[in-house]
Amino acid sequence: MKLTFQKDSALQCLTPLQGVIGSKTMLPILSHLAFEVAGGEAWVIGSDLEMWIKCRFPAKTEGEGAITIPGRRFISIVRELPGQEGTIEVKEDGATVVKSMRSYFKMLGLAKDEFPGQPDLAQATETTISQKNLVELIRQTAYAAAQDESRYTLNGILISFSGGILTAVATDGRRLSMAQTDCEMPPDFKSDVILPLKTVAELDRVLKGEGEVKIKVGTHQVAFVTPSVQIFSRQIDGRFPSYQQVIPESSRIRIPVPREEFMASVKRVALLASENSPSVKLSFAAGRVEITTATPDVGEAREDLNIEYRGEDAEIAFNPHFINDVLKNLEEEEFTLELNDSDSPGVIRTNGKFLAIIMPIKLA
Amino acid sequence: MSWSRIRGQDTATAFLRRSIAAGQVSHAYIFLGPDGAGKSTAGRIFAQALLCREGGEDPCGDCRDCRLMEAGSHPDFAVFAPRGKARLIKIEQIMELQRAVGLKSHRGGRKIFIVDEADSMNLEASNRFLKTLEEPPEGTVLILTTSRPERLPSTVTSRCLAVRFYPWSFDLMSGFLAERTGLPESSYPLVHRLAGGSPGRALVFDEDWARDWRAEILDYFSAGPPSAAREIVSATERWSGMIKRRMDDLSRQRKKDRREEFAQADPAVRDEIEKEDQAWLDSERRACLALIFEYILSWYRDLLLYRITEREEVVANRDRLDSIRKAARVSGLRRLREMLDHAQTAGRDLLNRNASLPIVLTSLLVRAGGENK
Repeated sequence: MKLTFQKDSALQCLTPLQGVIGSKTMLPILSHLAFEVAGGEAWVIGSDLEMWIKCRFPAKTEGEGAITIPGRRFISIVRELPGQEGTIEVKEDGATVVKSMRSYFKMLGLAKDEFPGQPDLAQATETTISQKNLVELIRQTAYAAAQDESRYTLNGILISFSGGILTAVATDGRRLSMAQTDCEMPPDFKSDVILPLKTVAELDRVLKGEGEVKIKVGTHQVAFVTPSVQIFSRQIDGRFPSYQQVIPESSRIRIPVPREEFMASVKRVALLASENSPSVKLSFAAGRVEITTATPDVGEAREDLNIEYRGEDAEIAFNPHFINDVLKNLEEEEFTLELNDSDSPGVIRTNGKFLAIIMPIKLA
Repeated sequence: MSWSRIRGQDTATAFLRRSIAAGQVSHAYIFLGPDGAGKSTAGRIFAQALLCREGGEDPCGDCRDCRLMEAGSHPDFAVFAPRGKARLIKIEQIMELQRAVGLKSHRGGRKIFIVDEADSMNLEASNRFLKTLEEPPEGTVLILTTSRPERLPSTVTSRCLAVRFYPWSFDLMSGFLAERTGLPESSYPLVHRLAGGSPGRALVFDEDWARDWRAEILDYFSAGPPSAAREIVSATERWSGMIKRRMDDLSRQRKKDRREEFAQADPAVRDEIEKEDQAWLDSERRACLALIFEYILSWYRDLLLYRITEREEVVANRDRLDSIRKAARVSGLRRLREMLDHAQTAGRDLLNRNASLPIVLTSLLVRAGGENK
């Protein structure tokens, strides 16, 4: 078996795999990458037993076969190759040789059967969505997920398939973000999958293309498949909290707010907010909003902004980071802030299919 | 792996096999019993049987799950054990465990996790672990092992089904020693007692260095422990030297064993290998310290028991009967009790509080020498 590749395109293919190459001494095989060559195509696979990333390796192939090679070393070798073109060849004694111009590297692999196989998703339901929409969905929700919560269902984002719509939801108990988009799926298909954040981060990195991605939804695993990359991931076990209940049914006050200006103001005022429990107060009156913060021993900051609001006066305080996490991942020029009173959650909506709920901070 | 690998624990293994056969598998077990009784091995066999496609009480050894288990690469099985110099299970490990518990199983069956020496969890870790223990997702089986259950919060132990592993009986141990070691039969009672009925610990006594250490220490006490500072210091130095030589040997051996793996490893993995080796050496060093103190304790225990009962069969160091008789005759009961206390405290200080060996040893030997003033 022999592969002839170009350095730059090979490196591009190998980059996403770096995140899953293990350094676990317990299972040496996980520090390897597996190559599968068949039918004129070469694929390279890495896994940490939680995720499998399989990338099409851009190479001219001769022969067929399967090998493993030490992952980090191989990537370093490709990165440092003296020439643009390189070859990978498997010798009769099982050793793998990488050559380029006058460089020669011989490495020992492990038996390919030792490499933990990717999950079998032959029975899974297939759905299709554009890569761009999926990445947008992820970016608009992932920041709201809990990082190391022992309620493990919160350490991921819920991806819910139903009626041709894909809904993503994430929450850490103090805020919640939800985004929706159209998705091609069988008519009666309904399924909830909780994706680990690690997988979410990898999808965000890998899905850069213009095309579509197929999501194969199994009972225990889920796969994201494009012509050049396949990401298999385990699902988080358990039921996601019933988030619909926390979405307020109606709001007394609806305030249209210009997104970028407001975000910049909040960011500036927050510079003097307390580090441990940051808070900014929003005071709405006809035609304007005043954003203030006051921190003992630090100081205070104030800024006001004209808005098209004609309703009653209202006050509420939020964690400024929670506001900006939401706003910086939106694209709309304007959003609506919905409030009831200063102790009830605030809701941020856009005209599209997005919603965020933020718990307020008690007014001092 | 099969159940036959575990000996002398019929009650425990029968119970575990019955629970598989009856389909009554709990979500959390705690395996209690002395070190080396086979708790961890039993945990692995139990796990393999639970993951095996055949679903019998014995793992078939042939299916894909069994093969993955034997290769140590089953994605739905993981072991968490104490790490580092402090031999602790830290909160980071428990968080890693929780992540793994939170994922759906890879192969569609159960997910099984062993927490070895669970008493090494610090308070932060065990509090965090409690959450997982309270309501693990369906199909999760947690197996804790410990030889010191009293160190675990009762909130943890009470949420697990206890499975007891017992110290090996003298008969079982004698058979094992005859089969596996070249130790003289007269030493079996001592070995059985010193090893606390644990076959793993018993094997150590068959090694040359351990025999030499025992001779050195018992000679010191048999001769009537000296009271002169010079002799005490020289003994302390000799014994510290024994440990150092042993550690050097182990370190050399370990490096040799790991040479190939180390050479092939990536730099990041190398760091981990080195850390792991250091942790292993630290734990071996502790075992050496413990051994020295076991020998010292055995001497005073023999004296005390013989002094009270005047019966030969209570003596563990049977080969030193003459010296023990002589020493017991001239020692007061209270003084023997005190020395036993001192020796126990000294051992604890060394093992649990990282006290300095020369200081602890010197002060103990000065006390021991006191009787010959």
